[in-house]
Amino acid sequence: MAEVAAAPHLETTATGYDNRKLFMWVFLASDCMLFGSLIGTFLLYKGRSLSGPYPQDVFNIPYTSVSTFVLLMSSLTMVLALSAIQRGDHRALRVWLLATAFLGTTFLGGQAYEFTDFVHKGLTLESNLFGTTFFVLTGFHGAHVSVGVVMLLSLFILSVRGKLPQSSSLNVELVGLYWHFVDVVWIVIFTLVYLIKP
Amino acid sequence: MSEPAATRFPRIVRRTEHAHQPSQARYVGIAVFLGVVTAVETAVYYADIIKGLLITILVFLAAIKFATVASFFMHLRFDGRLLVFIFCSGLALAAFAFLIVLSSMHNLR
Repeated sequence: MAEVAAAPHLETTATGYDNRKLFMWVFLASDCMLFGSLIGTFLLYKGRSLSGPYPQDVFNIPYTSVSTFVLLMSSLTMVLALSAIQRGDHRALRVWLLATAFLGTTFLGGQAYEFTDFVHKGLTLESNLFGTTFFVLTGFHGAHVSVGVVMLLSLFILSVRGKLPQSSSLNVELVGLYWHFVDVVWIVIFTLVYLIKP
Repeated sequence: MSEPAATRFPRIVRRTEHAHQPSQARYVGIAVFLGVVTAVETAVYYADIIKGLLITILVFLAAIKFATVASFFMHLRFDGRLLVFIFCSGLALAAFAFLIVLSSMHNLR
């Protein structure tokens, strides 16, 4: 039992990575396949809708560009939050976590407005192939962003209660990895779904 | 006397990647770069360019943004090759699955 008690700390594993970090990367790799299949389905059915509305009838590229910029900036605030906890600056950590959650919520609000606008223009989940593939893909992405916002607010509450010490910076790093992944997925969606015309 | 873990298990190492991470100013610079590339993407969308070239430029710009976020914000540039391998495996499998479905659909037609 003494051998077990003297077992290396979680970080000193055979791979050199904390198992939680390794798990997060494996999860993100599997999520790549989820989004890969959704984006692939969208591309396969792109331009095959038999009736409108078509992408050019509903998309507002400047609006979506601003949403994209907001999500990109949330990645900056996220990485600054991680940097803050690694320095032991808990006040800055809370500020950057709240800023990231706010930017994520702004992105979600923009997406909700966009979806509502599309429905008013006649594009629904059932209207045509474009509507089905578009709403499923961007809806899944929005769900991921929502989960990310919940995780960010959870970290904020933990920090306010003093339960997120500097030694727990890995927790912030893991949420950060998830958040940046959501960002890179949107980079792909923005280009392949919005910018490339059918 | 128990020996240190690193002595008993030679392959065990502790990653200290935090020391190599960029400064806050560099992070801000990277974010500005990403914002500029996004603006360029939007401008290219409205440019009067033939479709093939337009797609090439947009995919290239998206790849730059993707690689920048993954390398610097996700710290893949500073982490070991194992994490890069895991992430790239997911990307490769996703691309492979897409190509299989694409070829199946062509066969159905």
